[in-house]
Amino acid sequence: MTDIQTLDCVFKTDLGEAPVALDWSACGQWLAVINIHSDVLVVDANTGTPVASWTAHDDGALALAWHPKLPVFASRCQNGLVKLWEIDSQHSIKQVSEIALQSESDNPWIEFIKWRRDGKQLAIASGNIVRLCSPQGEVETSFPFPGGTVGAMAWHPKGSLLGIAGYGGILIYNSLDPIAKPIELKWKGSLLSLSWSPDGKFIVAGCQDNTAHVWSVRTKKDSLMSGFNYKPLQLTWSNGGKRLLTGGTKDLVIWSFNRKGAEEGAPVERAFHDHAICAIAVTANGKSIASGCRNGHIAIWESANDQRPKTSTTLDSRVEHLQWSPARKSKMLAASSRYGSLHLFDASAFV
Amino acid sequence: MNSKVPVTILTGFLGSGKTTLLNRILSESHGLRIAVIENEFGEIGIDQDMVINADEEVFEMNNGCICCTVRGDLIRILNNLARRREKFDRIVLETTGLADPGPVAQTFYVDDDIRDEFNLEGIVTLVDAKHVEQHFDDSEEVMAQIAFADMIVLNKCDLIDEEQQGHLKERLTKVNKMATIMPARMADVSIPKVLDIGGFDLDRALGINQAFLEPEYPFEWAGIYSLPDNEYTLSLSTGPDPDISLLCYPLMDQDQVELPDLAEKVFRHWAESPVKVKSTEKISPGTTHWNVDLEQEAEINIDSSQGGSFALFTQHTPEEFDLKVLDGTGNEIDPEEEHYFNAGHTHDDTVSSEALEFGGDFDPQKLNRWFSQLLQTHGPNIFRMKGIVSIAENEKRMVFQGVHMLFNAQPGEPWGDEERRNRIVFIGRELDRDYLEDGLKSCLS
Repeated sequence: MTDIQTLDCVFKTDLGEAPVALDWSACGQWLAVINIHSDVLVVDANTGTPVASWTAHDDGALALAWHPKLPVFASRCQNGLVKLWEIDSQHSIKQVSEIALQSESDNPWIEFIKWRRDGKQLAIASGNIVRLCSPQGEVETSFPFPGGTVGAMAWHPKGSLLGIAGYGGILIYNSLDPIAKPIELKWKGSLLSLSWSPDGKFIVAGCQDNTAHVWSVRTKKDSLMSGFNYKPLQLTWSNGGKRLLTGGTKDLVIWSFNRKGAEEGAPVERAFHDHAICAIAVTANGKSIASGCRNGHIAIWESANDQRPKTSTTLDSRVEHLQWSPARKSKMLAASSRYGSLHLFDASAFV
Repeated sequence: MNSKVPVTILTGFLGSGKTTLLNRILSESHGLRIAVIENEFGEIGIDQDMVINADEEVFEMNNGCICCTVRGDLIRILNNLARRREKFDRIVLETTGLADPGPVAQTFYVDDDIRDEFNLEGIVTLVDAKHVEQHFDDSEEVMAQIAFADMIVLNKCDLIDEEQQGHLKERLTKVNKMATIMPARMADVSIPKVLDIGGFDLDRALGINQAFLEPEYPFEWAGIYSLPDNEYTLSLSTGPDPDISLLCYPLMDQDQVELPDLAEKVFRHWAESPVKVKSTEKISPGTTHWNVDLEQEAEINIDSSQGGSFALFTQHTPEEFDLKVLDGTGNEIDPEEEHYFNAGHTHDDTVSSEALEFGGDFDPQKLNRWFSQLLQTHGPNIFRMKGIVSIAENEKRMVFQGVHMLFNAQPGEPWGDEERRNRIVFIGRELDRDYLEDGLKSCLS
């Protein structure tokens, strides 16, 4: 590691508590992070300064997600509430709507929230139900997941299909035709993370039993990827979907998806980290990679073909989140640690 | 920050007093900051924002094997708690009354993230002393909760007398010889003791609970009867088994007899093949081992023409077969003295425990192979096991414990001057003591 230049940090703050979610606004101007106490911090990435902070919920937060087109993001908590917040050009924040799911029959613990690509619906997973809500906060439809609590969900990158994973496999619902029978991809085991390939042809899940499982959505043909030391929950695509990057080991594992999918042969393993990789992010252009591991090391790889990272840095504890700015030309990387530090790195010198 | 967070699982059937104990744990001043994971409504957290509530979500890791079944809800909650671990010193995890403790315990072995952050210190099972016997035969959950326990809190002891308490302790010990049994009323047990069980501390378990070292007999009960010169009837109803073995041992001097002392003598006669006997047939006091056909109710005549006293030893407890001794007018005669024995594992279909103790040093490779084979073939039937064993040419004790097929071993304290004795406890179904003992001894170097 001695021959590698260190990555410079352009902004750093202590969140006070462990971060639970971090997300960029669609334009890449704002970065929002929420900690376990529901304290939200919004940072203007253009100036590297914090512009707003407040407590979003009375109880523990579980996630936040920016709207794909509007300066609006949703936050959700352990008590059945999803709140939508809007930020204006003057950086003033206001709550625009609230979705309350708690009822006697509901598990109030909201597991996930994900916006559809066109921003017209927000999927909210709670217990074994996913509800689709309008940006105004109205519940429009519900999708059941009979296998149990929803373990992961992901929108099709180009359309209206919603993949819901959990114990027993994946159900793919069509949000534009909610009464249509879902596509069923069965697997005996518990699926905990989910990711579509950028072209939507493949869907891959990280499993409780330290494997990853990939399906061709069209043919339902499936492949098992094993050999991980930990659960491979990090499933990130690069190079327009030609590479799948997985965590779950201390090596960055790169699977080729040029033609057939995961069956193209043994994956490439890039050694650098000393501990298991627990966060992976790919730049908006799909080429450069950031990987973070359990002891706080972060590595920046110019491309999936690199034998060694271009640079690296170290956080104070386990890397919780890594996310590149979605702005096409930006090389800003946001990172958070288990102990509550938030960092903003400018990696333009390296990628 | 690098030490693992200790976790205590609190389990027990509905109405056993879990919530009472939990409230005591949270309200008493013991100086510990405790986070509670509650999976019934009415959750309690260490502070307002720590709302921790779990559905019972059970899933298998991959192939449907019970040994790889974990609790998904627990994994998510614990992962969430791991982010704020500086806020508390330990976790108490209360299960629902009907929860199977297996998947809960296995979660701490199977899931990598959980294993890295948390340490399962112990399982505390609350038992309603007044009502638990009703559930022994019809509730898998109750048996599993008792079998998995490191500590059994025998709650509501004020509702039963000492004799009943003694009997109940014997039954609990039969199922789980490893657990400490703590009598309580209103769950008034020492909180530090409950929380400081020590997951690997087999010495403690063995030290407190010596019952496992007592001999096991093929009979569960004995009573002394004084019967003048007359004919009496032994009345038996149908029960869990289609027959019952018994022996009427004549007593020369009743005052000099202690039933546990007599057991060794009777045991030798019990080894003889039983003589079958049916309803209305006659048995005589002596050394004959009788076996009564109980396909239907039976009334056996007792020939007491010689008069005097005898000790009636029965394979099962009187309660199981509604055993009564009746005089010529049909009046029931109570035993003048009775004793419940630590019975051998004659009920192969029930949960029981086997404790083994012997000397010698193990060959580690042989022992590994044997355990591997044992757990692959018998894993689902072995609820828990714990042991301290001596490994050849190793100064330290090897301490291990397991849940179903999951196994964890680590070096313990040095033996020093202490005699190197191997002590191993298995709790599970259909345990074959001879198979376990022979197998383990074959691994000695």
